Amino acid sequence: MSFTLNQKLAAFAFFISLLAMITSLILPQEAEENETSQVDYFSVLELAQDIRGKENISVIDLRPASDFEKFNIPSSINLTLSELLDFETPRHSSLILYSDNDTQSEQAYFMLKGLGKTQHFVLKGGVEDWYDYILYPKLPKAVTDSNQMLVSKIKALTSFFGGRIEFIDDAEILEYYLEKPVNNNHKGPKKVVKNLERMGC
Amino acid sequence: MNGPFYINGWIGEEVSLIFALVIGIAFGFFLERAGLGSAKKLAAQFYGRDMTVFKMMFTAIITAMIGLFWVNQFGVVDIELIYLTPTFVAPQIIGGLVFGVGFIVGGYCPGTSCVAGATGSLDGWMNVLGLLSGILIFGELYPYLESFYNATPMGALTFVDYFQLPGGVMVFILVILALLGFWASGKIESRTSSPKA
Amino acid sequence: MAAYSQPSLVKSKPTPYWNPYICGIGLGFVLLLTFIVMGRGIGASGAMTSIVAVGVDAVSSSHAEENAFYKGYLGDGTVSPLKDWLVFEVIGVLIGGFLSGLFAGRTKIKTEKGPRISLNRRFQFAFFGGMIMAFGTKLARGCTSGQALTGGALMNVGSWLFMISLFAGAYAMAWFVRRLWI
Repeated sequence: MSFTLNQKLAAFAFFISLLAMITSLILPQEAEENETSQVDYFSVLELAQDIRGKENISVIDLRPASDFEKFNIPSSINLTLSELLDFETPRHSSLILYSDNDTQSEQAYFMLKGLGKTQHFVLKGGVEDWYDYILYPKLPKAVTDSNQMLVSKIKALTSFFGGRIEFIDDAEILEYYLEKPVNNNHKGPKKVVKNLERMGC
Repeated sequence: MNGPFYINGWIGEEVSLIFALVIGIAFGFFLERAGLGSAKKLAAQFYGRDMTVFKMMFTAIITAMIGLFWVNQFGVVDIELIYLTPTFVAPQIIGGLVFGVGFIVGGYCPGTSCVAGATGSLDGWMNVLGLLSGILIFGELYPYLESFYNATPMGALTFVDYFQLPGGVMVFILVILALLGFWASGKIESRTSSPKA
Repeated sequence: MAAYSQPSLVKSKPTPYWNPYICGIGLGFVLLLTFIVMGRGIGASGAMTSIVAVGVDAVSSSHAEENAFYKGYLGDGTVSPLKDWLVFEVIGVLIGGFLSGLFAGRTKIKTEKGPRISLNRRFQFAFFGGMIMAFGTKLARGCTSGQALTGGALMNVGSWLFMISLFAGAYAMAWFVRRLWI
């Protein structure tokens, strides 16, 4: 019994893909996260450092214009949701979205994600956390050695943005800065920004 | 060895463009070799007389798909970094239908019209001109089409995400479907060609 | 199937086409290599869009600037929009197609058409077909190369929807335009 070339090729394709199936069933997969329901967060501390370091980011304020005029994060732009969808992200730039609370920014996050954009983040805690932890932070009077770096970093940022520090007797207060924003995975491939719209056909 | 090389900064802009030229040459070569530079051969697909388009397209798809699974498995390339065109259900279904109509009317798709033109087919060049003018019209109408263009977005979405299946299982299912398709197209070809000829 | 598996060595005028499965495997490896090296797929219509966008920009740059569609292809003006991956790739396609045709003795000035239509009608239909196809390709964000092949191999949901609709549209239309081809 002899096989034609095409039959041999088909058999090869069958076996190598069967092997692929077996491999992916046996080998433990890396924790499959459901990416579609995940939000990429930015902490206020990261944002403050990025603004100060003149990183390539665009900060978007999603609150009403009246709130924006009263108070906003330096370098931010005030956009409505529909303006945001038309917003042309500068090349190689990441978008940081903020609002009064996370709900509105997360909604905007998913709308952008639906458009296929990838380089955008939600500012965890929004403008309130910015106010409470960057501009007018409360820091412990006594600082352990391990937290010395962090405290001096916050001090520098507060004075850079023209705020004021209040020292209190609570060592726990630094916990906020130490806990990482949940689902933060923007440390990964950040270089992939290359004008993605043009990668398609 | 960590790919994609371009995204990970292993090769620069200039090298990537030379690579583009080489890839293009190989792409055009294989299209012409299989006969996809001929409008009659392409159109014959849709009259059940010659299944070359289907055979070649799906062979290429499963070859790259299986290959990608294995290179990802061996860590040569990170599959997550490969650009995925985002899914927009309505415009892509309507776009596909419109494209199919244009394909059978004109006899070429954008890539094969270039190949046809390169081998001296004047109708291939006419098709390219038609494509360019169609793109211009689309561009001019874009402000009106934009809302539909962006309708029903689902983001970058693969079957693996959608069905929540391990990659290899999805590969196997699609390969089986393709092989069944190849078997069926052999049957269709022998039915349409042998009794008449 | 069997007809293809026996390569004819008879060197009559044009050499016969290769086994489509072999060509498919070749193309599949080209695509795989592109994924590995570039982290993207291949395409065709994108290069044509760059050419159109550059043309519009040359005629009226303010007009192109106002339109988000052209703007996406013109970039920020720091590099020429024609110095683009897809543009170079399509130049390669022209060269590769020509070389393959040349080796096989298939390069000559000709027009491909069905037996029942005139040359002029064929040109008109080739042109209008291209126009219709351009609409489909832009609406779907890709063509047979950029969506069907590339997205197909990546198991992209939208690409498979496009591919199925493409075949559905073409098979549905085939009966109405049968005079063009058979």
